[in-house]
Amino acid sequence: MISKKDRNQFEKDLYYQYADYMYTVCYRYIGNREIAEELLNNGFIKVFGNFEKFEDRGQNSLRSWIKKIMINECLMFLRSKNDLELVEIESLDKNLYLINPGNEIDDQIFSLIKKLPTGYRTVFNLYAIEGYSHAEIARKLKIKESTSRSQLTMARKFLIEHLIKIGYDAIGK
Amino acid sequence: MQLENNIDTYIKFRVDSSTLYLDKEKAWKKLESKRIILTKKLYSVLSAVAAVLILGIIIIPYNTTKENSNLMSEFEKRQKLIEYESKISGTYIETQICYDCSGKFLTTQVKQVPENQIILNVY
Repeated sequence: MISKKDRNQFEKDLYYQYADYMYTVCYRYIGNREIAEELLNNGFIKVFGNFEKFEDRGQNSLRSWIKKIMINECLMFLRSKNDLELVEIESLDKNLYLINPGNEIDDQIFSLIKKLPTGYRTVFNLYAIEGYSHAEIARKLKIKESTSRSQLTMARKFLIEHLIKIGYDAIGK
Repeated sequence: MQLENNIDTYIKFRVDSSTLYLDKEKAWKKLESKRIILTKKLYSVLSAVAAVLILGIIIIPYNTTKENSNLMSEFEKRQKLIEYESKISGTYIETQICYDCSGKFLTTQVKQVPENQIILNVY
């Protein structure tokens, strides 16, 4: 039986080990530092409360498990804000430069992802970075598979245009 | 690298190799205070549920028993009165006491029946 003190220390160590990475994951979905931190903490409270349910399946399985909880926390937040609606293709071009102005993050790649409309950003994150299929994304976001596909296409178009505009080589250096 | 064909890979690579840093000491303190608030909320919800359960277990059955005994004594008085009246008039009575499945007293039915058919039904 683990003592309360040991348990607290273990939770703190776990937090210190994964907080930066999970914070980055939350920020990728939310695009706001304060909300990302709040969701990170909500997610860790769930991690600590459900740690007995974690099944160790080898390398990185703990990180993947925590990441899944964080992503679900972000998606729940976005759904509660009704912020996943598809921006019409026609209205995207004129909104490109109006979204999330005044970004304080230095890293250009996060700055660029943050500029994506929420629906595009969420689908792009889930598909291109996390590796979910369109069917899984449709289930998670309660949208049609065709909507997921079109959001991804528009996200890619947006990113390519912007990468070229800011100098594709420069961002890679 | 042709950007159009490799945009997913490119972004994934850039994202995987970038990390945002958090003031963990400050963030951990926020998490701890949030947990204390959540625990307090949980205790107050549990206390409220416990209070409701106690009410349900102790007070409601007590009231039902009291109500039933009141009704029974009223029924007995009424039955005696009818028995007395039936003796005078030379007729007999049938009484039915009805309970629901939980044992709660529902109603009584008292009716006069022809002579030589004395029935006392208790359900």
